[in-house]
Amino acid sequence: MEQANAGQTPSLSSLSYKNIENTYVFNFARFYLYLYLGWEIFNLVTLFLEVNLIQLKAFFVNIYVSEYWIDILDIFPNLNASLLEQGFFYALVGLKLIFLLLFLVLFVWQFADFDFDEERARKKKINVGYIFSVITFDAFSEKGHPFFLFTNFLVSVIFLSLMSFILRFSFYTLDVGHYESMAVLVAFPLISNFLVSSRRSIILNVIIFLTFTAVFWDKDYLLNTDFKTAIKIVYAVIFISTYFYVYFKRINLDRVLEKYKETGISLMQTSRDLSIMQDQTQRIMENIDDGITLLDENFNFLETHSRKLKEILETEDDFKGKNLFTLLKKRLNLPDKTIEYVKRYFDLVVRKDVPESMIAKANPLEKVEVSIEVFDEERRVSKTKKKWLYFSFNSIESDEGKPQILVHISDRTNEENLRLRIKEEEEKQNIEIKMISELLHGDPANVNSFFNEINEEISNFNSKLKGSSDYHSTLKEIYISIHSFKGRASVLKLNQIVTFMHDLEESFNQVIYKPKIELSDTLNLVYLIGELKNKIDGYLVIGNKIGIVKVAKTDLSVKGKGGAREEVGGADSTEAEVQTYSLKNLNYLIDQTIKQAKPDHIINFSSDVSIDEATFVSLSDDKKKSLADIIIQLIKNSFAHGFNGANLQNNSNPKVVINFKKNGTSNLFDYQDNGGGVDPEKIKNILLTKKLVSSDKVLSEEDIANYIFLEGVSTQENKDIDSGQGIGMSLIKSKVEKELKGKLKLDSSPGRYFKLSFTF
Amino acid sequence: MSAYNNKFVVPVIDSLKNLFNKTLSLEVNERLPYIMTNDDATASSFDIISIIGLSGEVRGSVILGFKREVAMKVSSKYWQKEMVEFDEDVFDTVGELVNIIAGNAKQGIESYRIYISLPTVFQGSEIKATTLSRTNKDIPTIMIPFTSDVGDMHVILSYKFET
Amino acid sequence: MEKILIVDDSKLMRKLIRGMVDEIPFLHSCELFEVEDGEKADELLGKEKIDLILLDWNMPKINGLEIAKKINSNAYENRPVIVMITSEAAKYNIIEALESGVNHYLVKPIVKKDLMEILKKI
Repeated sequence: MEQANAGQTPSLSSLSYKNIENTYVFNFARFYLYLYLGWEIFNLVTLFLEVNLIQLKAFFVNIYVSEYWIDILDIFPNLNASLLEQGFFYALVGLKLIFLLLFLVLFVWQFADFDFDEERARKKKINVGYIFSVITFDAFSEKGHPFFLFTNFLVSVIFLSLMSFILRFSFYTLDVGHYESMAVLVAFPLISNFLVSSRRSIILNVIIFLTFTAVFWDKDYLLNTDFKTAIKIVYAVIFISTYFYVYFKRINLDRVLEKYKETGISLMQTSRDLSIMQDQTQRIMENIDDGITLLDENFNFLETHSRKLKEILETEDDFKGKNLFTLLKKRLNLPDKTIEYVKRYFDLVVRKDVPESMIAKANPLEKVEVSIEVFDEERRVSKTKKKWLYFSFNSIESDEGKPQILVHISDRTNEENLRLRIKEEEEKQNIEIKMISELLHGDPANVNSFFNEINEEISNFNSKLKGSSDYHSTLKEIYISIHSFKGRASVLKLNQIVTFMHDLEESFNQVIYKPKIELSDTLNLVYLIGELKNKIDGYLVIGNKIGIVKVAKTDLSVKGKGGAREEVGGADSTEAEVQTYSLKNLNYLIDQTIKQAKPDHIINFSSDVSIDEATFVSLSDDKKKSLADIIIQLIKNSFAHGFNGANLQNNSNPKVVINFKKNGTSNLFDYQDNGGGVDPEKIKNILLTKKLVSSDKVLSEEDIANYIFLEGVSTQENKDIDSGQGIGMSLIKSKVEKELKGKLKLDSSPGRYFKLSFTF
Repeated sequence: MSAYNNKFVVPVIDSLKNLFNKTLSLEVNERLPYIMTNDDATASSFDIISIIGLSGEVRGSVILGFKREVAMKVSSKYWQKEMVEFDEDVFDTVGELVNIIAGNAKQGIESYRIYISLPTVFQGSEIKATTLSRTNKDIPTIMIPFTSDVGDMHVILSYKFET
Repeated sequence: MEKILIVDDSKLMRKLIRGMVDEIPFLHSCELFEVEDGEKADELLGKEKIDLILLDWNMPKINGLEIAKKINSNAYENRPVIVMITSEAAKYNIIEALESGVNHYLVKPIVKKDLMEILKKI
């Protein structure tokens, strides 16, 4: 049923007989048909009025049983001539009456019933006008119709009669037999010319020709020589004219087809072409991978649509007569606003003055995500299915000049999802490439220990958060830890981690200074820590692949501090770990920090690092790590504060001195730079803006020492990725006091030096 | 308090990146956006900002903030000549940038009808943008930092859906 | 094509559009006008026979859409071809513009190729 519908696209079927109906051939045939009909009716009426049966008999015999037919009878002397003649007579009379009746009925019915609206005509199913057109039309077409021979014969008979009628008037003096024969000769070329529209009619002509030739050949007694010669000549003429007719017709046809092809509507010339087109249309509609359908001027669906349409819209219902907007709303769940714009858009689509490129540009359904309710057969529940659909609309005109809209829907869900996945993959790949290059840049041992430690530390964050009741202090602890890891990452040039941790710090910054920390705030931070963990894991996986990072295989979160280190899998890794805490590595770290923190315009910088190896080695790994962190932070501070701006101009030889040695039973650490030191005025100003002190308070050196260790106090105006967060000094303080259990001593002279020492 | 509707953020980021990529062949990368909750602790300050108002089904504003040097560099790229003065032409450019960003962002959020105002440009020093969140605590101000070869810039978004 | 009018409140955009128009060979003989808001555009359209108008949407005083509507209602002697060049990228904006008589629509940021393609068709 659906296939039949698909084949009969209204706009296509309307082309079929209406177009051909108007062709020259068709009208010509029709004209003769009516003329003949009129003449026969006139004859019959006059004869019946005279009630002259003999003349009536003579009328039919005159026409059909001419002299040469009677001559034929002579060949078969056994036949009863009069009986045969009688049989012929009645058969012909009957046949002719039937024809006449048929034509009469068709003729009257055609005008009574012919419906020029092809929609309505089709609905009537049996429309004589339609049938009439098809029969007559098929007589001239190549499309094989079962009525083909019948209709051709019909036409031949008409022409024979017509010609005999004309000849009877023209050669009235000739005897009956001759002008009847002449009729055949004169009419036949014409008939065949009409018949050659169909290739099969050539075959018909050949058959007739051969029959005639066979019958007439060398039968001198049948017909006189002149007549025979005439027949031969006439048939030669028939063939030549037929050949030329076909030849020129071909040329014409080709030209017409070409013209149609140029305008993009080929395949409209003949009904064969048309049937091919319908066939193709049907096949296209069956097999095309997109949804295609036509809308009428009220945006209701017409019958035609591709099979895929139902699949795209996940429905079994018939579309015909349904409204597009209802479908968009009910089936695709598009919002009213969008539908309103589609309506307005359609007004533009059918307007003739809007350029096509603009129509495409303004399409509100160009790419739209829809949700379709589908019924899950397996689970017996309905669920919503998301799809990406691309719509396009084109205005076409039906034969009545009414606008129709061709709708094209393609389902791009897969492509869209794929595109997103490719985008994700690409991003991932980019990140991976960056990761690899970063990993390859750093010192392998340091990179290795960094990742293992930060991995462990992140697990610690979680346990800290889990057991915490005081958000402020816990988050601050984490914040400080992140800051110190950021410093190390920046030394190792792990830029992505640095950027991420910097952003993470910013996020922490917004939360930890709030008077009251909401649970929602911490949730966001926990999420970000998770992101950091993912990032680190990414590095670990890649680092592991390229052999730079050796990951402790066991879950770090369940281990106590230091536990993980002893259980690192494989001898190589253990070696790398131990190496990390050698003095050599510490010196490397210091060099790197200086290289990284030192601005390019400081050229004559020098450093004096003297760390007693035995003392350093005697420290536990945790303490080594803390000490390294403190040194990194101090160097950074020197560059960020001590050797910047005016401080640098008064200083021709910026220098840092680092000392670490055994002092009795405890260890002594000294750090000194010859930079700007701590400016009490600046500190005071900051404290004032932060409303931490009142303006009349006089700050002693000790106060300053205390305050610069406060979080959030920084003399740096512009914070950047390395400094200005106001965290460096507080980090140092917490490391010294909590991790090393040491005691801090600060000594600073504004414009001259900064010194920090502690024992532990 | 309902969950934050971030539908407008991605279109804005996309249109900014597209604008810089397409017309200036300048790669810009977004950094983690953050929500401005306590302005004196975190707010970045700018030398020039351009604001465009949103009305209709989304109400609020889109702000683009630059440091002076960055604004100059971006403008120079646009005008294809070195801008020496921090003048009308630079302000005009910064205004047009926010106009295009906001206008194009509408494409990513077609189901909402949004009207945009004419851009307004402010120039000064230490401008801090806080927008709607000052008066309406339900509407967060989102800062989206962008990095590029010519320097950093910020998009400051503050909007709510009118439903 | 004789007279072209560029309407945009941004000096930068006017410069960019003018630069593009200048570079299109078949428009060399054209006379170019520039105004910065709808009101001035309205005034100029009343005075000059403009053949092509490159129109911004969001402008002070009278916006581009109103100018388009006015042109479409044949308020001026000549009915110029309207090309709208705006940052408004939403489909409903394009629909609205086409309804108001805009002939072609370009979304900022525009490139010369797009403009040229449209102008070629006119």
